[in-house]
Amino acid sequence: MFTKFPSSLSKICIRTGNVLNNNNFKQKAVQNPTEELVESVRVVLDRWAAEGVDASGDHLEVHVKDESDVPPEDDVSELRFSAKVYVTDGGPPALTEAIDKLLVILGGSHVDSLVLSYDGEDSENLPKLMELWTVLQDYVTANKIAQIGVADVETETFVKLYEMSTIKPAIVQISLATCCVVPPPLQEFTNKNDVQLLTHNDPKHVLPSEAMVNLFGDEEARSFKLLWMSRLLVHIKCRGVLASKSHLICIQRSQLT
Amino acid sequence: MGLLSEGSPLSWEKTKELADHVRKHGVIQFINLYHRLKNREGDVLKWGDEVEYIIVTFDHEKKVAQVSLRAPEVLSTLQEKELRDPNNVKSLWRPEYGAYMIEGTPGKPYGGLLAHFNIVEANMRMRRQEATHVLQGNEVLFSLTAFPRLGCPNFSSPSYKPTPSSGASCSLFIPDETIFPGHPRFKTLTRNIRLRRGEKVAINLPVFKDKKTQSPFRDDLRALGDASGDSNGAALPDHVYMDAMGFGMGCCCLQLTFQACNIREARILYDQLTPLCPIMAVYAQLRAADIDHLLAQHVAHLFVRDSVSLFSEKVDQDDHNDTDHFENIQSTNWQTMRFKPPSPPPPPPPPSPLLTRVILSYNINLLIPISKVSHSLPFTFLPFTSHSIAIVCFVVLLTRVILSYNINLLIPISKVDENMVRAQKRNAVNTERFWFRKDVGHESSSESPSDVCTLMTINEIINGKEGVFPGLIPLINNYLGGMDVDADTHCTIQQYLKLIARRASGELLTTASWIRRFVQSHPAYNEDSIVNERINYDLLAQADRIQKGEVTCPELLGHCIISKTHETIPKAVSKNYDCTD
Repeated sequence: MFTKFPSSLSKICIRTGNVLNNNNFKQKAVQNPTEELVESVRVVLDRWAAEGVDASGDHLEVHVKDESDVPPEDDVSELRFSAKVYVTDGGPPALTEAIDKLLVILGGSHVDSLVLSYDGEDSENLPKLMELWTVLQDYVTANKIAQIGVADVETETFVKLYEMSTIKPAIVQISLATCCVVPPPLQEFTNKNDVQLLTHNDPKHVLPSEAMVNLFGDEEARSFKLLWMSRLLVHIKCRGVLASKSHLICIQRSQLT
Repeated sequence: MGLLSEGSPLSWEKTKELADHVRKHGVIQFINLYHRLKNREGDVLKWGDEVEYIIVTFDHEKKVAQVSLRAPEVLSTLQEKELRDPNNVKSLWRPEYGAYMIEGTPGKPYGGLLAHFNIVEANMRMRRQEATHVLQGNEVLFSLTAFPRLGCPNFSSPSYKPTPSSGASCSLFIPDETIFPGHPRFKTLTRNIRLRRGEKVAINLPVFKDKKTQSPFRDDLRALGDASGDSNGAALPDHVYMDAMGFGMGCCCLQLTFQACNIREARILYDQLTPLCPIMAVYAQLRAADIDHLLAQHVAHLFVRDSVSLFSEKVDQDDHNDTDHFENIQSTNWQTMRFKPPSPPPPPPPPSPLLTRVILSYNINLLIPISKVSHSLPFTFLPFTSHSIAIVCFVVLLTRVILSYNINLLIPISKVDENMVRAQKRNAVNTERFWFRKDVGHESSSESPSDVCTLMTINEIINGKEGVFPGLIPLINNYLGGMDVDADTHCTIQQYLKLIARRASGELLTTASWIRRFVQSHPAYNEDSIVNERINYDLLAQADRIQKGEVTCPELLGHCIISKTHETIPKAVSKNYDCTD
């Protein structure tokens, strides 16, 4: 059972591996994405704690060795990799770190589509969003990501982002709760510009403080904060099959104790 | 509809003589087909629905509704477009057993994108419009399971008298003129099935007992022409007795066909969607040919039947390339689900893909004299387009969930049979409990079969049971959360899933309950279980007003089922996902 991180650690990244085969999820009432994240991270933490803590230095990566995030498909061309990265106030360095970790998991493959969800102090702050967008554009230019998009932005913000960017957003994600009442201007704009208007089922704050407490305990939840979170989805092309879903989260100590 | 070979039908005697020939070569053909295709990989998902319609004609002055035997005429008009330009039609039209029935399918299968779920409804509506357009002013299309007065005097227009001692059916209730006359298959089949059995079909359904129902309930079969007394011997007291294939084949079905990417996937889906049938005759032959146990069982089960219709041109075949004998047996076994290997690959047209065919019949636990033998998922399906679509999408999504999450729904076959019996009880959706697998996460288990399942209500299976099973709809929602779904498609799918969830929870009436309620509160109903011509007329007229949207029926359809269906998938989606065929 996980109780506490060694005090020497200032940053911890946790990778869940493919959660689709987690039998708990097939039995329990299906959770919202936050619960799914909490439960799948907990499994990894508990296993890590049980195996004996090996934490020299201030940085720790925890992941399950025997579970791959990418299915062993003979033909990678049959697969489609899509990712969603969720950043708080870490700015471009946090986003860069999140994407680099994804690319490591994928080995040589590129990400087919990546959606950014920015949940900073002021998520409609266009300059901050543009800073992050610039990071994404660089990855596209380097052929590491094919398509980029954003989630949960106001129509006006999205249109401005679209106009200001060199590499245009190919995707805008909106909450499932609003998929029947899409603002007409957004619908029109996306139609006109061939932007995919897709849905997601994620809460506004993917790892709220209650979930942090639930996962890391009171004390650790106070000392650490979420830096970034990402989700990697692997689809089998043209068959509507989800082959793998894995989560990565990175937390950082906000003050030394 | 299965194989429809053109040609000259052989007599039953001749067909019977050839039965062993067909069986023997059918098995060999299957074995060859299997070995040719077992390693085939990588087909993409394609799927489609087939909806059958009954043409009903209304006489508004006399307040009579009858099935209209104009299907041959209507079909030839509907098929004109396809004959001119077979590759670019949006719908295909085919004959069905009844001379009052037509079957419509989309012109091309739907593809492997979630966005395809959003064009099903538009296509179904378009098909209905297209067919309605060629009807006469007093005719209406229904996807009703059974015409309420099927087999009663004057149920068709024009009206004919049954011929109990001659013809194909020899039925006391169903005149041969109501069997589709445009293809020899249907009557040949009717005749040969009767001859194979050595007697007429005998279907007995418990009668819905009302306050003044005759007790014990018995039809006067002698008065209807049962000179030999055979029918009288086959009819059970307190049951509605039916003596012809037309009672089953003359009902509407919703069929769903989807393509698996390889034989393994097809089998997972087949197994998961309905457990396999018991071991039968030619099993040993299949096993010896290195076809594994379970698949062999299934195929063996098909071959216990003699073929029921043969055409003289098709008797001698090349077993390595032809599969007519296999198809012949396969297509005349009406099961809830069929495992359908690809058709043989004659060089010019490419082989058609591996298909698992799921046939869902609309299942009505109808009250009074007329109903049908039906089975399938423990639902009662609705004769309204929105419900057909909801069911089609639900099942296809469920197959995606099974494949994505590796869910194991297998339960012992005896429990499946028990479920079938329970499903046919009145108001099963609200009152019955069904066997369901306890732990859907486990691959397979060595536990005793009684340990793997538990009893659950339909509501618990569909919507979830705390701590035991998440529910099929929550699982579908979890799956959708991990897929790229465009907003309109997701909105539409949500409406369908809500409809199914609310019917499972009992919040909405099933069609059967709605019909029961309608009949029982009709002023012309005498509490005697009999749907007379006037009730029949009013029931169908009301159903038509509901399906046209002229009257709302929130207790049946819920409040707002407003989907965002489109005729085509959005350009931004099709551009980015190359799944076009």
